[in-house]
Amino acid sequence: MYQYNAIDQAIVDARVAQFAEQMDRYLQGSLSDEQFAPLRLQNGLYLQRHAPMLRVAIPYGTLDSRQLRKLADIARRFDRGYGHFTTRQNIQFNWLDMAEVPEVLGELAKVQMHAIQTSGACIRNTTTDPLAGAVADEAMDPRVVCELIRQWSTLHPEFASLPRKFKIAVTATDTDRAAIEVHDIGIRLKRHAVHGVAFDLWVGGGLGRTPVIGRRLLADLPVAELRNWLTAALRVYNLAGRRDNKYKARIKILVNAMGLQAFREQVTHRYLSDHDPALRIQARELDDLAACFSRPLEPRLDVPLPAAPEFQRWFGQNTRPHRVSGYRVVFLSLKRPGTAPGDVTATQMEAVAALAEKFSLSEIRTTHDQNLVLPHVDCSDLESLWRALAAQDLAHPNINLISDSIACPGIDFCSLANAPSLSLAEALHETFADLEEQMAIGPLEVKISGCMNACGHHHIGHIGILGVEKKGEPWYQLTIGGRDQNGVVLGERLGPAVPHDAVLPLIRRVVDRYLAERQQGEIFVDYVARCGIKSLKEVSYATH
Amino acid sequence: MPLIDVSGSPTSQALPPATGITEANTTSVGHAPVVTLVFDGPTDGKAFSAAAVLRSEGYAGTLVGIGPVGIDRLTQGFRVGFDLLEITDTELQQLKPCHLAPFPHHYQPNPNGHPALKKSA
Repeated sequence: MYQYNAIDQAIVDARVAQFAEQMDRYLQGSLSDEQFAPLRLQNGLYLQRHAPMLRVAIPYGTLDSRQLRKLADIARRFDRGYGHFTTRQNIQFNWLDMAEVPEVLGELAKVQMHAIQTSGACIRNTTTDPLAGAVADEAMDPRVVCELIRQWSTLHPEFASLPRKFKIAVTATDTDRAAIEVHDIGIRLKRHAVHGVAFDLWVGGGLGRTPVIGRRLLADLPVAELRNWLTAALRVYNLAGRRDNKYKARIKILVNAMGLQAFREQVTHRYLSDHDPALRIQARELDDLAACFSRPLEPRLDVPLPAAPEFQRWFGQNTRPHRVSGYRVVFLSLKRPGTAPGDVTATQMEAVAALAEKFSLSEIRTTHDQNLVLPHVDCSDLESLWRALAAQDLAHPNINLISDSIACPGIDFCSLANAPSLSLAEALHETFADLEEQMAIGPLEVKISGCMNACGHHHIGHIGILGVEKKGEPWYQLTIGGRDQNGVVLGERLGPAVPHDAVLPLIRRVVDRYLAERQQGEIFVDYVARCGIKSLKEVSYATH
Repeated sequence: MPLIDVSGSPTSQALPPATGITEANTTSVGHAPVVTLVFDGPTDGKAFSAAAVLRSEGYAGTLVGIGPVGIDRLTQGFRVGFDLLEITDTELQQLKPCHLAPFPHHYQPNPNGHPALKKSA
């Protein structure tokens, strides 16, 4: 993993001091609520429905055991004993005392963590494949590029007051597990005959109230020029992006208004005109960063695995192949009955930190699906790990199944939301309580958002659920057939919105129709692609 | 309202009319000794990029930023190439050295030739 040097540490420490001074001015009345808002937001501090919420950055979703222990410590000392992993690989604490936030930031800085730019109209935490460095077909470890972007974008003086928030994602495999096509900028790293590794630059994707699939702006660019190209694209956006209407301020709106070709010409003009040699990435810099993330592992001989059905079910559902034979990637499900998706107690965090030390080179990953990953587990340790995870209620074998839903905090916490999200996630557990049935249904991603801001990414769920307000009551709009990998597809609206208690019966009818009509081995989203949603519409609303 | 320089010292400066940001390039401003760019609001950052473009294209005159910059954005303004930034009288009274230089290092190069890009360790 990347380790801070003295300069990184000095910057983060200075940011803590800066925010403490800003907080002092606010608490003393020198700063109004309006003046303080952009300052606190750029340190991840929100005012939620019940209490201040702090969003802590987990750069590119990679943590070490020491950092996870610190998050547990903060959860216990400053919050209510738990944290909430988000759909952008970060963690949120929902019950902080505002006056204590500078102290929390100081604690984070002790383990090379921060909350810088986890909110606000600036460049947010760069996300990537949660399996980075552990899978076989990477052009390079995408975290190398993510770390370059982290440094370049951190406290960037030119881009701290953008028209709107700005999200970048990076992938380095053919299978895009970072959903780059629904980000403001997506970077696809690939092997290249001339440059060794090159990248394609995608632009203008995003969800929210105006979902747009990004388009490829430029192709086959050398990685050495990444910072100059990003500067050019951000500069065009900052100069031309709308500021008169926050719902029209994202880069996707600008690209659509300008046209892709005109946007491309402007970005290319800025790149050529403003090119800065100091931004060029040297081979040595790439090599040094690559060394930070490198995890040399010796291949191991296959070992016999326990034949117990419970172990086999967990192994099949919650582990994936590793780039090195004899190792597996292990998913820890944070979707259990009775627990909000992504919630983890301080005790569980400490347990995972210890298990990562023992079984996964002290590395932990966070996923967009609000689960955790231990990326480098020796197969001979799998049984011990499985038993230890089960003791912590973290071995629920439902990864990618219908109960592995993702959900924003919804109206239970968020002041923007129209409707509850978490109760629907719980209802999925109740309706599909039988794991054997879930496995028979196969991969089915349910994504739940409590409002149009789409923090639950409902547009790209196989089944998407959007909370809307109707005459003061929460109702839900379902979309079907969305997908976030291998060619993003936005889900199609199933029909009229329904009240809370009608959502799960409706999903049950959709699933039953799919089971009745699918071809052998056909997963839900492929069935929808083949048949469309006409049949599902008919069955869904037959009784309404 | 007072204009301050990078050291926080107030200065009196006769300003030319503000330059429209969409035209803020060296072709439009030519060899004007002073160019004034406007911040439309406390969260408007368009002028940061306008200033950066002018410096990138070689503009060497005096760049002035007016409008609600705010003392917490002064460091950004000076780092992208402004020479003078406007603040209110109240802000001038509150101004401390930490507002002008809150960070000992920066990751980005500076158009005024100040701290260089940090190289990863």
